[in-house]
Amino acid sequence: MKWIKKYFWIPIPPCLIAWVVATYSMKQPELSSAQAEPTASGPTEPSSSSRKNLRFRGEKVHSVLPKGAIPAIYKPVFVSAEEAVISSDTPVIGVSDGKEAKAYSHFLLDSHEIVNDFIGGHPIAVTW
Amino acid sequence: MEFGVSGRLWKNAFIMFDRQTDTFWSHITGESVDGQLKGKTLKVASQVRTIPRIRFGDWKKQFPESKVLSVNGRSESQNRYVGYMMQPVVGIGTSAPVDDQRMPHKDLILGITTGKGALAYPLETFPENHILLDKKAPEPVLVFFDAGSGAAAAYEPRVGEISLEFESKLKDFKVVDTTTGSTWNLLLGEAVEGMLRGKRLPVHPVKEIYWGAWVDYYPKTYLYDSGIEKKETKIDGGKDE
Repeated sequence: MKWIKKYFWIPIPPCLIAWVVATYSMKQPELSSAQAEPTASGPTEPSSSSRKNLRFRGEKVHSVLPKGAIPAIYKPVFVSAEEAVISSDTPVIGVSDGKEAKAYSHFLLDSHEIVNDFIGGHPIAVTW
Repeated sequence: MEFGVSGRLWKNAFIMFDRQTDTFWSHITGESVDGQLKGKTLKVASQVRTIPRIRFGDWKKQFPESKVLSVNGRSESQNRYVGYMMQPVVGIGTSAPVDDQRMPHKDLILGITTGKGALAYPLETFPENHILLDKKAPEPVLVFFDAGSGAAAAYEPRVGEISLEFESKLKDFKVVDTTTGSTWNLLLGEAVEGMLRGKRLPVHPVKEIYWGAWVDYYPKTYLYDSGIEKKETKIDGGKDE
């Protein structure tokens, strides 16, 4: 098929269901009444047994890795597009508010899946 | 709220937790799956525009001042999932296979959720013109996909109450609306020239996802009929490769 040839530069898709990106706002005003600041002891952890046989909408929630085994990024570091050690063909997630722009390599995010970040002062979570 | 990776999977996609309440959240739908905030749904960041995938060289050309995420001095890494795309099955066997025969499960689509339901556009829909103004969908949408760079986005084709029509040719990620003659940058959904300069189209966040996974989350999704079968016959019959 003709169009498949055009895709040849694309590396194999990294996550299970392809290039799924969601950028969530970290300011969730409608949740603020229920939102608690993290305490010294951390959030109240529901006992692991209560989440052992978790189901949602009739489908099992599978536990495949320990919590945090894939480390999300909480303090991202950026370089300029000129300095970046990255090939032109590397697929990235591009995020912009029209003034500031940021690129996140898909292959870097394979190991992290979430970047907690800011763009133009907006707190965002870029999730992969 | 800050988010981390819970190590759980639901319907083949990962579950996030937030550090403040330890609620579990679906990466795909933003719904809370379990925990203190169960019943709530995360808000997508609407102030920023997100292109799920674009060749870095093309992004840099459009946004030379872009910053680039760097981990340990590098902005890229190895691809760890080699081979997965070659299998016909979606997922790693943690979910029951989906009963849907409308399309092969590993065909890629652009998935959009609107107030009037979920919409799916097969990538094959965009062979040359890159741009589709779909008026048959439950609500009109402007979708673009550019195979060369990999970039995709979707918008409501309107500014306020004014509905816009668009040319079908994309050039340098820009397109002209035939209603006012304004030029739009489709990576931002923003008019860069003409009488609507500075205006923005309301955005629909796009997911580039296997059909089999999309229909698992949104079984009642609208599927755009690209008519690709007819086209393929034509190409095969007309070319002597």
